[in-house]
Amino acid sequence: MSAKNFSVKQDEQGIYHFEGELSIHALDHLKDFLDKSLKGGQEIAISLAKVRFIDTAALQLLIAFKKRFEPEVKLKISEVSSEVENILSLCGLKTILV
Amino acid sequence: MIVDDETLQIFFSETEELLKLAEESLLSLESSPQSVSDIEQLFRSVHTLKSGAGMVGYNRISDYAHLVESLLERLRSGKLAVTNNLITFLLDSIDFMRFMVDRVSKSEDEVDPEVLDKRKDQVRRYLGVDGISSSEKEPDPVKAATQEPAKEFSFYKIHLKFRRELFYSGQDPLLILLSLSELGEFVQVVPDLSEFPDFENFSMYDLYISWQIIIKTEQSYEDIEDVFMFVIDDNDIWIEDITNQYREGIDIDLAEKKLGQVLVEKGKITEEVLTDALKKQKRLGDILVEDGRIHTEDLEKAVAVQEERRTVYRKTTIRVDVEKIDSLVNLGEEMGIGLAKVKTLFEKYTGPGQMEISEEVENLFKVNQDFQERVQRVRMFSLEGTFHRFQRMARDLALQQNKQIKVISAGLDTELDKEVIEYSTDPLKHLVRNCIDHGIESPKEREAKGKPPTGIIKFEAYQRGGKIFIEICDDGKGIDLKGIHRKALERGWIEPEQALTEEALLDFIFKPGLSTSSKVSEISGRGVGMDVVRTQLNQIGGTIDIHTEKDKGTTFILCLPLISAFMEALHVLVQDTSFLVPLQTVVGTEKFDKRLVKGIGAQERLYRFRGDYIPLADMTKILHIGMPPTNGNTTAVVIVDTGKKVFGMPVDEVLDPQQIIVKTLETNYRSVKGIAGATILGDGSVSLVLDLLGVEEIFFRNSFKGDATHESEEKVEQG
Repeated sequence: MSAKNFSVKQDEQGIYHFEGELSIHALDHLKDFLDKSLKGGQEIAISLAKVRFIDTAALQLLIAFKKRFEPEVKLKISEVSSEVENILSLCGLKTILV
Repeated sequence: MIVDDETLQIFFSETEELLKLAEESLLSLESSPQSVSDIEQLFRSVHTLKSGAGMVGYNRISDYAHLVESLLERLRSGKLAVTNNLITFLLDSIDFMRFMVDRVSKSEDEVDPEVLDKRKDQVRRYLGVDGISSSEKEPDPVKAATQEPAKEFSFYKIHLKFRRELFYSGQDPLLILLSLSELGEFVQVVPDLSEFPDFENFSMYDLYISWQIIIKTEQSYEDIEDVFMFVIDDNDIWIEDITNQYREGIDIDLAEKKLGQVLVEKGKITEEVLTDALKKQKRLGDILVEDGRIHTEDLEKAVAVQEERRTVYRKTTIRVDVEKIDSLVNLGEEMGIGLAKVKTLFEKYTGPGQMEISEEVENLFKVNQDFQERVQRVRMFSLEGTFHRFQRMARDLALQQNKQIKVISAGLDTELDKEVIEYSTDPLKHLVRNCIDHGIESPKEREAKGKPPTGIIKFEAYQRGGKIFIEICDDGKGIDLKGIHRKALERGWIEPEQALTEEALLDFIFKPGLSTSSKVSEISGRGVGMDVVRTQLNQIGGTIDIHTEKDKGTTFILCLPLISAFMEALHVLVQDTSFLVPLQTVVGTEKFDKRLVKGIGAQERLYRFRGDYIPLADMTKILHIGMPPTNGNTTAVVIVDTGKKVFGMPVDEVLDPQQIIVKTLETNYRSVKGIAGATILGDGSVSLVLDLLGVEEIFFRNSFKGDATHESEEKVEQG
């Protein structure tokens, strides 16, 4: 799955690696992906280690899915890049998401 | 002063940490000179170091740190601006303190008093540069620390509630927060999710989050207001000056302390009075339950969750000698071998309880495997320290060459085996040097190409499928492929009409004797070439890849094993002696065909392989084992490529590849050329692991006097 500047790959351990920019332009793709993977009732782990930028809209969507499916189905953010780390601490959403 | 060993140990490990912290904050300060938190961290590190050194009696260190602290105090109070010169000077001062600490750790004198005086004068000059009067030249640090800070700072509470449709106008609160953060330090950020709707009513293009922020800044109310210039009219935003709540001279930390603590510290009450009073206090949970506001079960659940979160914060670390961990690794292996033997014994057993026994043994096998893996993980460290060192190195090198660079690192918490980190540090260093020496252009050159004057070097680490990848990437001029082609021609490695892929050309970089740089710089010219980089990486089972594009830059991608000790090896038999050949060097195995052998001289033999003649290396001869070689038993040839030479090894039998843990011979015997170590196989027998670089050296030195593959003889560089 890929949008402009954004793509998802799954590694052998089942972790989804997001890559690129997670912005409002990628929301449709992000929503499709979360719909498919979470509604199947499976826990998923996402790595944001290769995400250079994430905007408020994308953060909100992740939170919405987390709120909807947890604690039954876990959405785990396994690692974040330093850029995302900065963004999360800047807007105070780190504890909610990670 | 007599200080016990333990206190000294703590001092040394703490100081190391503090110096590292100070260095980190300086580097990050260089890229964002306004960062208040970096200045604070820097100041605290030096301050703590000073007190620590004073406590254990290293007065010269503490004196010097004291002066540096005074300098930092001026920085903190905004009397001194962050400049590149100042950063360089401070980094240098950190190095000097490290030097003194190193000396005392070896029980030497801290430093020559004359040298110290000179150093101190340098700091004083800095202190004097921005015109303090002579009486102030040695400012009282206590006075300075309590009086000056916070004076010029204001605190603003900002309430940010945007309209729901904000995204439609192309705005993002994040970008607003980002510009706001550039004006000062966020003391508090509280996101408000109370407007967040149910999932069914959630529209992803609407904004539901609002924020409340407290910022500590030197800027005026108007400056803060300016940040919201484009959004303030149609959104609910208000800014409140709350500096009075953080009155002058009051330490901001105090706000986070509990009232009781503050009262005790101020001497208003004693510790006992406080404890007594606290005993009378009921816990919030108990009050709520008594009032019937909450059920006991719900309360317990909430407390349990809270506890869980708290334990995460209490995570502590201990320092352990690596030897202790290694001995655990060894014991785990011994257990594994013992279990393998037990298993073989019971395979023949057909008595009562046979099923249960084999099941139990199988189970123990798994537990042991898990145990071994976990112990190996103890040896894993994050790459953070290594990357920070590179950042520092890159910065210093760039400065020397009048180049401007910015270093970005990502994936700092990626963990690697200690040994892998140690072995890959030198190759990595070399690559970083390469990026700055040959990759990044001078600011003028860059501007002429339409690039920003500041070059970017990026370190990135990540894990993928049981391997660790480290990328070192620059946005410089790229590798000169034409230059490599020309050099390869000059050296007779290729024919003029030969067509070569980019990959094949890049591969020449790893050949000894190719330097594309016309002048050897002071930094890169240290006798280590890219050939050594590859060899060293191969030794720990790593590989290296290059991507390059003209004027866009070069990326080196290192692929490293998680744990160095594991190795894939091909198991072969030569005259009943079993050997293991590291799999990454094996090109292939072929059925031995007598007709393809061609003898030269009295003893040497060549073997025809894929159209070329390659030398045949007899292990029996090279390692002086067994009988003279006969073709009679040879059934196969293992073809290996060490990166320098390709040769074949006739063997009697090829068995299955194995995953092995190599034990060096030095510990119990002595080092033997051509043998990397030994390992114990599943059936309990011992097998020797070949060191092919060593084998190659013995072989080509003794027989093919350096000319089998038309290469001049060269020294094998190792380690």
